[in-house]
Amino acid sequence: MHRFRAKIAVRYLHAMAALCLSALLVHAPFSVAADMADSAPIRVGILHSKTGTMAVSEQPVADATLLAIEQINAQGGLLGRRLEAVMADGKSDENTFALEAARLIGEEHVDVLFGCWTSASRKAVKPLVEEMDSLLFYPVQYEGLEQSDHIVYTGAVPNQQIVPAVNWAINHLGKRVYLIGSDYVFPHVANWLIRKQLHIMQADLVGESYVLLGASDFSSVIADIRRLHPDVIMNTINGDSNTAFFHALKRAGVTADRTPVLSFSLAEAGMQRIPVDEIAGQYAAWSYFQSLGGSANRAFVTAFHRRFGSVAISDPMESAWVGVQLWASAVKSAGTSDPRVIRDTILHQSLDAPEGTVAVDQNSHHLWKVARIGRVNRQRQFDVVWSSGRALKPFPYPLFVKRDEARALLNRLYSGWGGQWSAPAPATGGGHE
Amino acid sequence: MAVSGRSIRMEVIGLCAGSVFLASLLVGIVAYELLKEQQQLQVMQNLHTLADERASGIDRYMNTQFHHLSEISQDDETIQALQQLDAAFGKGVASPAYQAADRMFRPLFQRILQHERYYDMFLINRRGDIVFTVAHESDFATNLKSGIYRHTGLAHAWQDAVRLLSPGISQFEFYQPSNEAALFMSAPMMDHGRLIGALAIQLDAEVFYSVAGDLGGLGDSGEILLGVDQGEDVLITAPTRRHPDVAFKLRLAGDDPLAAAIRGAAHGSTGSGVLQDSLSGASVLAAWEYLPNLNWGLVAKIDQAEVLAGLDAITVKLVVAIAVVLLLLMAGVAWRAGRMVRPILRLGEVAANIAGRNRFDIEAPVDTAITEINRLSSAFNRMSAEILGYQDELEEKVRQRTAELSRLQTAIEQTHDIVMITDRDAMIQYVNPAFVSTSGYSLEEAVGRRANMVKSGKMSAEFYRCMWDTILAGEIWQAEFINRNKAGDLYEVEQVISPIRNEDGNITGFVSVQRDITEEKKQQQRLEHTQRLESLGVLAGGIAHDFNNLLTAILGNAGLARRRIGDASPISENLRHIEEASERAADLCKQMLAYSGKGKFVVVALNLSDLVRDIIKLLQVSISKNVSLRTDLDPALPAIEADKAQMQQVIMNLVINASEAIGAENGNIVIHSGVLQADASYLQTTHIDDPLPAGRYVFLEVSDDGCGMDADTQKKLFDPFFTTKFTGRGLGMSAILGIVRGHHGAIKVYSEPGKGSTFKLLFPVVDTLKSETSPSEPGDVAWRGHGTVLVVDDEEGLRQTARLMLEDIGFEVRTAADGVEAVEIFERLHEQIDVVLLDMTMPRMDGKTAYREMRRIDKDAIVILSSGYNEQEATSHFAGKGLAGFIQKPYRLDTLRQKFQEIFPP
Repeated sequence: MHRFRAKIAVRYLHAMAALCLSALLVHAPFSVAADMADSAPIRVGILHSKTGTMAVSEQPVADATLLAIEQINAQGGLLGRRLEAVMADGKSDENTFALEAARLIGEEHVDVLFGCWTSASRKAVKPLVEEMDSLLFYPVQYEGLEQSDHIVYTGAVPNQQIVPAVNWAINHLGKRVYLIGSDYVFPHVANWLIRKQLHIMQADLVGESYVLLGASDFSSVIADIRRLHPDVIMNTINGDSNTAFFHALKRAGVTADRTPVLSFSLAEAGMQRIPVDEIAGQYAAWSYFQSLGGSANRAFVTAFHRRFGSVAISDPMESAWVGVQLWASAVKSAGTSDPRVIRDTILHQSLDAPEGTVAVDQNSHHLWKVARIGRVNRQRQFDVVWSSGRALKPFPYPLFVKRDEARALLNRLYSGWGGQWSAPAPATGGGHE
Repeated sequence: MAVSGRSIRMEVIGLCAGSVFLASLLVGIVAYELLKEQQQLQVMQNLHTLADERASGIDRYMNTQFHHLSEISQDDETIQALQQLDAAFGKGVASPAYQAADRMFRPLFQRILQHERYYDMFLINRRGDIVFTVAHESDFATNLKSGIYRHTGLAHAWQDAVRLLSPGISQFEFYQPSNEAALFMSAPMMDHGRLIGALAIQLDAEVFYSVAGDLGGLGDSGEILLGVDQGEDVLITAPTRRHPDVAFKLRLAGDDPLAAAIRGAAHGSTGSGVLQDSLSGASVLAAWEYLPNLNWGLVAKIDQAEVLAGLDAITVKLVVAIAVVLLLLMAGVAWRAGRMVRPILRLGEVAANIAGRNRFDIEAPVDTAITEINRLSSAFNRMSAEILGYQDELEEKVRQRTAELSRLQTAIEQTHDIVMITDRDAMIQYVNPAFVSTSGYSLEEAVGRRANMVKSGKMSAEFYRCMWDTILAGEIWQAEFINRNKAGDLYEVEQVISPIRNEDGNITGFVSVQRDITEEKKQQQRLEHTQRLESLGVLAGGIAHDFNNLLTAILGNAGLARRRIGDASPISENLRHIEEASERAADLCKQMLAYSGKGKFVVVALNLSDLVRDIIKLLQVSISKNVSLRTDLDPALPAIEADKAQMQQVIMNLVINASEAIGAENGNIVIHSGVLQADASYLQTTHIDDPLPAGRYVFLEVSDDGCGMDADTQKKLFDPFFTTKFTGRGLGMSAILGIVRGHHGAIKVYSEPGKGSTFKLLFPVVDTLKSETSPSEPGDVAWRGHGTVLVVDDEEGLRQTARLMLEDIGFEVRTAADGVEAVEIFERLHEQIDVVLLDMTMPRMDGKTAYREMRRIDKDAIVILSSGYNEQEATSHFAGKGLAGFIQKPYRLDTLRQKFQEIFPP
């Protein structure tokens, strides 16, 4: 009798266990199936110059991108999948960028690209990501006058950097302005805009000159500056030419207190090679400075330093990191990493970023960003001297330029450079690739 | 028997109900939780989408305003308006020039304002003077750089516009001139690359709220909450559905969950979750998002109760459905369980039938739908069949055992052997009827008493000790016991006592089987007595035979001698004395033969009463004078077959013994005769060992009142050579017994010491009365025979005597020493031999064989048998064989002559 009862009890328990199990399985299969189907990692492409004149600027940006990816993976990845970074080297050459972008999208099947620095490289990659229906996160402030559904611009546009900076400089440093820049599309367009702004603000352009990317000979420029005695030099030199430029200025006795330089493409990373005496007291306009306060920035800096050592962190690096985070947020929100979906979802993303609150502007696919002007201190960090206070709506096309006017300028530059977005190196010069 | 406990049916129903209920509960809870999770997830996603849409809506609205503002600001008419109004403004707003300009441009801006649903529009010159407004509030004509409204949203928007050369936007905040919250947008205005001022618009808060507060898709309890982080707390910046008047009035504490959500959103963190709504107190699902245009947080929320209301409805339906399913299931289970239980009940009935009424013929069904029950039923049927088989077998065995026991009991009860069963202490537990009949104790008297109740005291204590030692050692004790019955009489048993052991081998009692050997012992004594008599008889007979042979020779020779010398010779007298002495010797022989029961020579039908009367005188002279002899004789006494002489001798002996028993005293002897009907039991009390048939017997009693006999004397009374007399030979009574036995009679003795004895003789009555043949007269002494006689005898003397006597009579005699010689002679000379005188007992070939041989040679051979045994004894071997005659040895010449004379009549 007891055995009989015991048997019944055992059967009963089995039945109950089976019921419980099946009840759990009702729920389980979905997630399990989803996991099974999509357990492969999400591939993301990182396209930056590891070689060439831009490598020194771009490598830290690639690192920041990688940091963001690693942080996301450390938190379990996205949608239960790991992120797998596929690195490519743009070799500081826009054509290589184009080829590598095509390879990453077409052959490596990445769902998204994080990369480019120079506008030249971005403009080389842009038609590819559009044609291949992919998505590029571009991390660097630039000249604007561009907009694409396939690109999310996480750097500042002129109304978030150049325009307020020029406005501030004219009001605080003087109305006689000298423009110096690298000989490629960004400095040309930026200076074109500045010229217009100077005109609007009834300030004076005393001189304007361009050097090739990677150039180190600024003798004629220095002579020009010494001759013209501008109140302020607005610098759009990119890459390691800045080191030579500031060295030349110092040597020529052009000092920050008398003729300050306001840079638009020189950040903390680039400054570390310049002797502090040559750079201290100079100005730069960025949305982000490593020296910014706030818990978000502190966490970011700490994480970066932990991962890559105590290197300087600059605006494009932060923008690259923010780009990855916004993309991740969009992927989470959309439940997919399909770029065709993310292109829409990304428009609703915002982030409490190291630089402050950022959000993707639905109109322009650029970020709402705070504009800041910093002055280099003895630690080769920036002290913020001005801030827009709140995030500024991005206007890639400033109101004071006409779109067709801008298009004509770009066309002229492109064709002038022989069908590319930077000036070709002279036959005798050995600047950059 | 009352059976307690629950039924299987109820158990199954309970089990199923419990299982299904538990399973339903579990599945229900899991399903509810999953559904809830799913629902919440769904709602969250919806809220997210909703928040996205709202944010997008607001963004779109703002972008549209930006766009329009930009367009208007770049419109030539607007530029012209600013330039003209600015120029006129310099002359004063009251100036006709300004009034004219105002009149000129006002309709344009009013149209735009109405079309775009702005609250107000402003034209501001490079210096910050508000040179034109549509609404003409107190801000008109003030300076935004230095005037009282230089810190307002309008001033900020204007500053951004001219500084950034891009459209600027103010915070949505209270604007004193309008006395309400206001949002301003401003765009720089340029003419030919020169900044001339800015255009600003004040958005209509109501219009904005209607855009921001779109509740589509938010159900009944859903709300859109807009707020701005103000450091310490969060300011709600738009009316809510339930609280239309909270805009810019309600502040949520920093630690409020909603405030945290709004603050998070205002810092760009999108998110969602279940929150506690401090405004309604309800638990809400919320999604929040950043509004970059306003730097606000947007929270779309909906009461959890509403979200789960649908779920609750589903839950109710689910519960009802489960309840219905449960009920149906219960009904099904009950029905099914009933079907399942029915065979079990049936099984129970079958079992009850088996248990209660011993009915094995009802089978449990084995064709139900349940395998286990079928198996059980099948096993049960097999079991019941086997039980039935076992029972039949058992009953058969019981019957056999009972029969066996009954047989054994019958055997025990019917056996003449005593069976007694006792416990270990010899307390009687059972005795059989044989014990009852032997001991005289009834069963009831015996059971419960000790077995020594029949102890006679004849056995020694040593005997009993030995017995107990043996049986307590577990061995069998076998011995003869002398016990005493209830009446006090002794009886002898041959007793076997066997221990009874239990399963452990311990002795629990004893069974005693006793064979009553009292009678057997008597029988044995009687047999021994008879055998002694027999052997004495054979001895006496042998002696008498040989004596007779000798006496034949003596008498024959004495007779021949006396005849030859004649009576005159003095020797003749001597010879006559020899003959007389020989005659007495022959009498003695006869007595000896009589004792041996072989001396009955002449049997005639005899009347004992007559005989007594005939010899009464002789008797009277034979007894003492002091003894009176009386007779009491039956005059009509039937005859018996008897030898008269022997009867005479018997009576004489008895009377003389009676007289001697009386001795010198005066006494009486009475002779009494009569007839009695004797049965077997009566006859058994007599002193005759041979069985006698029941029937009519003639009796003759000789009673005296003499000294009598004790039991010991009575026992030895008939033993040969036992005598109480100093001079007696001790053959008297044994001769009487021999004679009586020889006559197939019996003798009974009653005696008591000091009171006298009675001897009672019994003889069977003869039905056919034979007349008493008178003894033949002595033959003619002068008869002479002729012819040849062959005398066959192994005694040489006797052969010669016979030759002499026969030759004296006139016969020629031939002799043969034995049968062989006789047959040889007869074969050779049978023509000449007329008579053969043949002895009975001879070596080599006895008389019987010789006679047969001679009759074979000549079937008419005449043979006279001669023997020392009496005629009957001797001739019995020749029955029907044509013997011519018989001559008893010893015979005289006269006897011989007379016999031959009978054979050879004249």
